[in-house]
Amino acid sequence: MSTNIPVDMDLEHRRCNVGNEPMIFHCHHYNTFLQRSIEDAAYIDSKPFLIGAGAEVAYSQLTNIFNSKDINDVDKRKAMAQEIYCWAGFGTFDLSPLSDNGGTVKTKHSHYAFSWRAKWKEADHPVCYFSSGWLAGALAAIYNKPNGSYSVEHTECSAVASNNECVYVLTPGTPNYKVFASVGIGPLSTHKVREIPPNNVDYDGILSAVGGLPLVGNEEGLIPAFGVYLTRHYANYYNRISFELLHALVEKFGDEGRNVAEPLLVEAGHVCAFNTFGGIMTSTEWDALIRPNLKTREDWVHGIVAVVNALGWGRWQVTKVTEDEAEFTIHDDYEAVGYLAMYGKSNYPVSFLAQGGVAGIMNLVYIGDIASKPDLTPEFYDRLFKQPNVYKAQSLSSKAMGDEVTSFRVKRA
Amino acid sequence: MAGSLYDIIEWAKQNGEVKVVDRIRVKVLPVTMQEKIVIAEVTPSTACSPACLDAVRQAAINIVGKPCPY
Repeated sequence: MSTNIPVDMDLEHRRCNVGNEPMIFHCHHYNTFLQRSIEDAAYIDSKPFLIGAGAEVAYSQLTNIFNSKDINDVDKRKAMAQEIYCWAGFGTFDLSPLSDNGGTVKTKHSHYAFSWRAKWKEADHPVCYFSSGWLAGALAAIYNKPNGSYSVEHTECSAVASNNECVYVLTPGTPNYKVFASVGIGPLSTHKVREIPPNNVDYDGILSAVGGLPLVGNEEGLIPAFGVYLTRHYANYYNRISFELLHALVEKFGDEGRNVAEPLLVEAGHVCAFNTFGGIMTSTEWDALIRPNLKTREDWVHGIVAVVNALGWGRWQVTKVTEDEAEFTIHDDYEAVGYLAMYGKSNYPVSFLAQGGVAGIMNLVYIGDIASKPDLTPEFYDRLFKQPNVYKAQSLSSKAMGDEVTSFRVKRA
Repeated sequence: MAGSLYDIIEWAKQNGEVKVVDRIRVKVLPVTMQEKIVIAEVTPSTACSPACLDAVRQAAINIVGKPCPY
């Protein structure tokens, strides 16, 4: 894979930035589950922010890269945009049919469309909102226009039964989505690393080994790994779409809107943990690199936390862990950092992915017995988590609320 | 079709995914808010309008993917 993409590894903050946009690993289960949860609130007009958030991150990232690398030629700009999109696992695009007057882009390879079919079977409507917005933002950046200079219609989607490719039509003029200004990396802190219990895990070695895995898009722009399809997605995209949904529900229904949104956003994190963390903990890479050192189930928790530190999600620590309960501290978790940058201080915790993720780790290790390599099927998920006494995470502190770190206590209900 | 809100929710829990109740809740929120009903707190004695019952039933069918007997 080409090394033209300016990847900036900020190990001090456990982050990966490309063109001043923080990028994080997430799987197709999370991507589709989160989008479906947002669309379940059909009375909220979510399409403008689902597309607008894609435009926001593409425009910001590509504008920064074109400026910093002095890329002024249109063809070279298109090549860089295509390369990043494919590298990140979103699929493939041929941008050559586009001009400053817009145009039509067709592709047979789209992460969202492919994933939707893989997880939910066919869709009854086009699902590639992210890609639609990404194209609109990219085209504006390529032609040095303001974000929001193009409208975009996703006229065919390969997630829909009757279609075998995705088609996007871009037109200059009023945007048919909400135009956001990216906050970039956001306000990071100096990490005061907490003491953690004695364990047998080589945290630094795992960070280095996982960070060195070749997790980049293949010729179809997909990243099949650990039994899932990964993306190197934009933290600001997830944050924007999650918080716009939350705010829309609160605006319409007050506290009940928040009460309804939160469990679904947390569940998206739990589903992600089950599938991605579970996939990692049953992988050949885990068996080769990590498992030989694991002596106790608590080591398994430390092992996966060490891996999470390579995902770009901030610095994760497990500061206490027994079968009864655990405590997790997260420095500069991407949700809180993004919330602060986008909306200012919050009145309540907003690190939903992390909340579901830490509970998911405990559930995998102590209830799912991940060490026995179970098949991570939807049936297994339902059987495990329809039990009433699974682990749940409770917020102890929230960076988004002004605390130094985000932290959780995880206990069985 | 006979059955109460409680019957529908219990059927969905038995036949649907882990967070089926949360999904029903978000889908029917405008209707349940009007009637001051919280889906997560429905009991056998919770009463609602026929329109609300129908909205919850449709949401449950949509999520579970099977016909609802209630």
